[in-house]
Amino acid sequence: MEDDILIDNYFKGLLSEDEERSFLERLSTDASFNEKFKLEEQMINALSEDGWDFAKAPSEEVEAYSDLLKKEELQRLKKTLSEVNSEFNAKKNISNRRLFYYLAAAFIVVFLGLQLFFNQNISNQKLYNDYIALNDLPSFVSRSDESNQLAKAQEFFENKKYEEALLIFKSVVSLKDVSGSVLIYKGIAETELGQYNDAQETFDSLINSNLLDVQKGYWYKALLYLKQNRVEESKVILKKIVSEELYKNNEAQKLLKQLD
Amino acid sequence: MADNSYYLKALLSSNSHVITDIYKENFYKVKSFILKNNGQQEDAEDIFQKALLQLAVRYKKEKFIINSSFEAYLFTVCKNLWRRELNKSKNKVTKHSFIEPKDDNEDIALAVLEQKRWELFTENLERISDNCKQILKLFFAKMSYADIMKKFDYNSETVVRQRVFKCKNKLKELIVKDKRFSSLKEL
Repeated sequence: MEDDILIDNYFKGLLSEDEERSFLERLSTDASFNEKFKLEEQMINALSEDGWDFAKAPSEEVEAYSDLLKKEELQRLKKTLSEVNSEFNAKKNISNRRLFYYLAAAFIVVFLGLQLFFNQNISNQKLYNDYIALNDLPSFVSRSDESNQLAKAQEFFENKKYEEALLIFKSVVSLKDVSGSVLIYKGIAETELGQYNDAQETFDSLINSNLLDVQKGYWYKALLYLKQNRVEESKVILKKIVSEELYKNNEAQKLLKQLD
Repeated sequence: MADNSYYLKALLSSNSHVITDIYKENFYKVKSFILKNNGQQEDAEDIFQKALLQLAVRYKKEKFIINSSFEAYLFTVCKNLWRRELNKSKNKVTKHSFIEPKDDNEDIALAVLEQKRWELFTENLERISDNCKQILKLFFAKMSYADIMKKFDYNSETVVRQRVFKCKNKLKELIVKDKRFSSLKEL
């Protein structure tokens, strides 16, 4: 037990210099103590997670394994292993490289697609702006509504203050005898504010009304779809405008060509 | 369980098909272990080849039997070889005595015997009582006597210390009696 504690303390580095000197001296003179120490050392090195129990003395067995490794059979294995290893790990690299090319190609396709999409998007917006022709909208200024509210709304509209304009248009729309022009202004204001569903509702209510401006409802709804890049739906309406010779059918024809 | 000697025989006949299969089944696991433990791709490739050579030369000399699956055994050998590599550099710093191998062959030969001695210790550790095994595993994991005392509800560190000595002696008894011991102790 005392020897065990001594050995334990040696491994833990708890011996003083003097104690360590006499410990090492005993190792070289006391064979059974030496044997005990070696077993303890081997055991600790082998069984501790971060250690390793190295061979400390040459032996015939080491020699025997070493000789076998030099013979043809294992030399051939060594060569085969090195070949399989480089093929196995190179294959992986090649397939990695191939994967890289696939990814690169996929990226380019996506990139071009996006580019196309944005270009398309940009040109749709441009077409919308070209055809919406806000200057062509009827003016409320000359007319006399009671509070001159519509003239005020138009002023907001022309200054692109669509929110303020919309407030007034909405209050006017709720009145009974609303004009088509008010609905058109309202719909365009909603379109400009990105309130596309409201805009669509507004133009639909114009289309489904018995107002003189029903035809205009189709035209502005077509432009609303164009603004939203709903090109196919826009085309359907434009074709209707052309075939039925509705409001702006010449423009519709031109626009259809530009969209194709 | 498949016949483990199938792989060992394939190694000795340098059967590149079977060896490729061994790579497919085992290499990535070994690689991920080595990468997680401060190694590189080249280390993984090197260790894997050395492990297979170790198995082959050992089988050539003594037709040993693998008691677990071939995959589990190969992984253990790779883990040990990597532990060995990491400790080699540690030992160079602390100037611990160990044999500087003449060449790669001798290095593999030494590793075979060290692996055998490691098996002698770990297999016998599994043979002692559960309580002893648990205590020793914590002791070898460098847990302090004080922490072991708390974990096992012992009354004092002295009791733990005595228990550790007792368990170590049990283990040593088994090891010394093991017929493999005499050829491995002087290594």
